[in-house]
Amino acid sequence: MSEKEWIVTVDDQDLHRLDEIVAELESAGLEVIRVLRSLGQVTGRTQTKDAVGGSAAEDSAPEPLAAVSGVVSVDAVQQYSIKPPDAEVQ
Amino acid sequence: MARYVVTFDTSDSAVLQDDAPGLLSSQGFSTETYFPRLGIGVVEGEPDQLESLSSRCREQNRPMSYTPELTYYAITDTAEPGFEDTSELTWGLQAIGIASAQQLGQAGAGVRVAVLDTGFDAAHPDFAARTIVTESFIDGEGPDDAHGHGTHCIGTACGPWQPETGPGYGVAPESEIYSGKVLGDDGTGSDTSILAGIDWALQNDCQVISMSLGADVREVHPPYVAAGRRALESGSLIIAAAGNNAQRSEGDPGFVGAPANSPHIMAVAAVDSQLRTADFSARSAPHDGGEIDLTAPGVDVYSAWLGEERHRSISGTSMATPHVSGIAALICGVSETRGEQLWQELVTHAAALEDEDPEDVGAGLATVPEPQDR
Repeated sequence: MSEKEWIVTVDDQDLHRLDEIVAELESAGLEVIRVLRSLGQVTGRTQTKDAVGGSAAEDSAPEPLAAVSGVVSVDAVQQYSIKPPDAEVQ
Repeated sequence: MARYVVTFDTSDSAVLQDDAPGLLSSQGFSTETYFPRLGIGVVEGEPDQLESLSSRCREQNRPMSYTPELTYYAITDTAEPGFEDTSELTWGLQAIGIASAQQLGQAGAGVRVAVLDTGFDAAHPDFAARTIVTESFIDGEGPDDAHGHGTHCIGTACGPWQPETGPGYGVAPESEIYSGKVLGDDGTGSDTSILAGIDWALQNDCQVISMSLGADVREVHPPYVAAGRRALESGSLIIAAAGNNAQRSEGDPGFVGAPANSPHIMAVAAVDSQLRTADFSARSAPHDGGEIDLTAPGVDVYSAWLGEERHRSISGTSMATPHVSGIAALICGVSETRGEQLWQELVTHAAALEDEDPEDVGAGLATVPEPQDR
């Protein structure tokens, strides 16, 4: 099993039914980390089963998430880092 | 376009006098600054243009090499007027014109400044009497700063004008500090923690959100387009570091990285105490939102640090960013200007830097508005 984190952005006009959308995202396979109400975004993760004779449908790619009505975009989480404390330029 | 020094390596004067300038012109370079006696010319062009000149020379068996042009300064010239730290104030506070805020005693009172970083050393004696709200968005770590970067950035944006020891280093010493830990003790974080931090800052109605972080990624990351716009609509201005991916001394001007390259997020570059663009400071990227908006002091910036050390001088666009955030807090504290208007105010009051390219400094050096301009 490998894990991947996503950011789901909800459309302005659908923000009033954010809870409903969160529930649909969960049924579509998203394990919700946080609901960011002020931003209208949801962070979460999906589990990807390593395909061992299993069907490709086991892959929790973000397609089912993007298909949820009211979702504008589903983006893979990026990493950020700063230099170590002793670096001259940080 | 960059400038290169082209050297034709031969003692054959016929080649140097005739063939070399011919080769340069045939590749579209000017021969105005070609010195036939030396076989050396200075040309302006793109790297691939130079590469094709180089292969043309090889084909014709004319040995040639080129390197990016370096800028030299006379050694006796180091007394060029610049700012320096005094016992009263850091060079950065002097450069942004903190004096006009000090004269009026306007120090950002009532303004909530969120700094999303490695956390904060809440035991720091320079902050003993301050209103500080801390939160961690890193699993398994509390809000304390174990790195130093977050404490340094908070120091610049919100630290004191007159600490017990050493120069004043903070821009808005009466602002309320909201320290959101979105980078772990090892200095790394992800969108999951950063967006949670922005959301928290909005819930707390922070007018200013300072983010001295980024990834050296050229692509705009869509979540920050929505986050930046929604923050502005709620009256919060996100100010982010442009990035330290340039190496100008090597001919590489870098590019504004994510999330500073998003259209609704302000991107801040760094200048040194001579108000020259720092070697590491990234240049504007050519897409909407990829521009540098402002520049600010970011070389040898003295501010708060962890533990017994208490203060340290470091460099980076990370250090420039909280200068702008502090100025935003000062403006907001006086006029209650927020969101898009606050962005405009910051740009309007920037001091143009005539010797610097707008691609590197945007509207110029961020400054505290003079009282009559308010």
